Amino acid sequence: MPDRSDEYEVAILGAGAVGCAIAYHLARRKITPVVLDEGGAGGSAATSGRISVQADTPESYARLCLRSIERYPVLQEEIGPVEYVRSGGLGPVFTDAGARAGMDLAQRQAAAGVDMRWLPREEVLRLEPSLSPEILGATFFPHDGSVNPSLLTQRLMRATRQIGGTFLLYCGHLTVRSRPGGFLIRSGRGEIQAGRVVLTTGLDDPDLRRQVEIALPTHRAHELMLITEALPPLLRHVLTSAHQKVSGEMVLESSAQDAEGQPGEVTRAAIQRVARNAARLLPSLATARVIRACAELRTIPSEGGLILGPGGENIYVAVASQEITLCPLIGEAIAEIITRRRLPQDLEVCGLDLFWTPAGPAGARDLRQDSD
Amino acid sequence: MIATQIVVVGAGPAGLAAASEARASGARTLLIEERPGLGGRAMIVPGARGLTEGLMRDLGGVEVWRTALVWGLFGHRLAVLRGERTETVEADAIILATGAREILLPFPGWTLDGIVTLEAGWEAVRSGRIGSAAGPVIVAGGVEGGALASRLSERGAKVAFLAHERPGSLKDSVPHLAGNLAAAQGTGAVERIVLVDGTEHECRTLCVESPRAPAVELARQAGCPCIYEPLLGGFVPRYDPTMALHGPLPRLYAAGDAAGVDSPRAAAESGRLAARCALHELGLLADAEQRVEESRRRLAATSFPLHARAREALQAGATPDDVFLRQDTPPEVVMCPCESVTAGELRAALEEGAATPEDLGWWTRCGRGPCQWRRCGIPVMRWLSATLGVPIGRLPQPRARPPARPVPLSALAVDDTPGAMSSEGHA
Repeated sequence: MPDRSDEYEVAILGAGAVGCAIAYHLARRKITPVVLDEGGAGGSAATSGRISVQADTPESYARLCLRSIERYPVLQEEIGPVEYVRSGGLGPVFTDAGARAGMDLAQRQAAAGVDMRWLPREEVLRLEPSLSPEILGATFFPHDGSVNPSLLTQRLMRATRQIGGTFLLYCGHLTVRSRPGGFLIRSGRGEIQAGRVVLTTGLDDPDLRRQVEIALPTHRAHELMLITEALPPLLRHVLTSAHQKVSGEMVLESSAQDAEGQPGEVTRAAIQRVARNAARLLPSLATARVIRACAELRTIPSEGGLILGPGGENIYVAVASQEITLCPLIGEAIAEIITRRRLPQDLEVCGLDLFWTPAGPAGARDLRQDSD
Repeated sequence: MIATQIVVVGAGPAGLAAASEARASGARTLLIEERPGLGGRAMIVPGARGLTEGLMRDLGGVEVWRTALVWGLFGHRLAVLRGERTETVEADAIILATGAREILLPFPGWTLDGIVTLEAGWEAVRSGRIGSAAGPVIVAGGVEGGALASRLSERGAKVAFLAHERPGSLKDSVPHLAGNLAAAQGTGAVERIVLVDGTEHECRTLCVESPRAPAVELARQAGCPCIYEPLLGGFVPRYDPTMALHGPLPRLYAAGDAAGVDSPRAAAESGRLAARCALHELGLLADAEQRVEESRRRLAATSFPLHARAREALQAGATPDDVFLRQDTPPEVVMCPCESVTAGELRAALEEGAATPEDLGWWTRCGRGPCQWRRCGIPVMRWLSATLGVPIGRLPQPRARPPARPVPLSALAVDDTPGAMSSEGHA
């Protein structure tokens, strides 16, 4: 019989930014969470820290991103500085087709009430003189910005610990067994019991999928980032595939997901693609020295966007492709769903069709009906 | 894209011997050296210059790229920075003869300007940067340090030698400071050193003889496992009796100090052995069994005896990695110079749950700067081993990611599509 200290109200699998945000918001609601991870804290090594409104997806998703971004200043007040900068984001385009799509998108988003504009070439170059003069214009997202993802996760961990949360790292292989009144979780660090389980790992482990009897529409995608040495200030805005960290390092990301290679393997072709894209976008970067290439295989929703909500009795799932953008929202949403069986009020009005249960998409109304 | 049969990375004694051996059997051979000159450390630090110059004379027919940096190993393709651009080289067999690096171990003040390795000291002698005009120099170390101090004294430098005992290699005219180094002090650059007994000595240059560790980034990029063998210089890649590295990539070999620090003659012999084994594997070596066996005997005969034993144990699959290190580093000592991370900050990260070098990097940015662990990796691993009480060989090593050195973005972007293969080189 495990002693009482091994019992928690909620166990969260995955100590990345999302898992830590959920733990933080639960602990604030006086629910004692434990966060378990097979490895160390921090999740994916190739997390870029870019915060962006994903506008080429359903408008409701863009609104969700906005709701999450609005939470960053408050979160930063609570947990301490995480290098959050609301710089505005630019999506430069080089082709006529791209420009037409950008203008079109701006119109649609404006109609949906999302603040996003199309900027002509001259205006973009005035905002960002280091961008290539070959661009035709750019989409402009005033809400975009960046955060230091490691600092964010670390501060969430610290804040959670201070208010009673527990972190069990390097657990090795985790198994989850349903039992009356909750779950028994076995790991390399012993057994714990939890009343509820939150899965943030995207369920890429087939054993875990079987144990919890949940299948999520996710797939694994390669992400590659190139990091340069610290440079003098060059970019004020975040770009779709590049931004400058507070430290001065430039983070260059792949714009297209790359399916080749082994997990974590950095392929020559992928490095080349990211480098070429960056050199085209920012010609003055050509001489900047790249110090590191990070690749990571991440599990993301197949349809993009966000999977969030109950996945079964007392099991909740949260998987996002833009986890840094969305983690303040996900943390609060899961905590509210668990404690009050409803979403935060401002989220009820948007993204209803994004909440997913095994039976298919379900809205916040369904969640409320559950509790009635 | 350039295709060749054998690529040798590094032109020290091991690489030179490997390349000339490969060429002698008629294999198309490319030798790639990072520095402008061939010979590696053997041309800078005295002791093996004659041997190395002899090997250089045997390079006929080998294509040689100097000032060329292999920054990535992607299967049998090497990404090589030459001038402004990256060339992709595809080889049937690759021999890594990348040598070993002197690793300064942290002590209070070790990141001040003017504190250098012995190799850098010799380089400065050669280029005339340390001479009679330079301020006082202190060399701390053993036999090799004694030789450097003697040479500096001949060049008219005001030099003193710091060690417990006076080595035979030290000229009588060089003053000997008996004691142990406690700290270096100065504003920006070293101005004086403080010994454990509290005495202070003025100096403008401090050369510290430091342990040499195999340069294993490329092997690790290729996914080759390493073990910790102090006799061979620390982390060495595992390899079999043919010098072929364990891991996912066939026909990848190690030679010379990159396969374990040993004598320069042994380095050359291990280069020959690796080349002969590679040639044998490619079906290019006549009397293969016999010549491989001959190389193996010569390697054993030229190695330091304990090193030969250690290498044989490694090849046989032994795991001599239960080495506990003791290292008492004051919290204010900088462990990661690129990001100015102190031992105290690393300890705080351990308290928050960090357990591996990558974790320390995530918490503190240690190892995330331009050196990418090349300078701080070994000191941090030693510190972590001592602090956690875990054998250093049982700790996970930091990840080795391309590029192996900082590379300009434009050189990474070069349109050298691996898919568009040409069968012969255009060099």
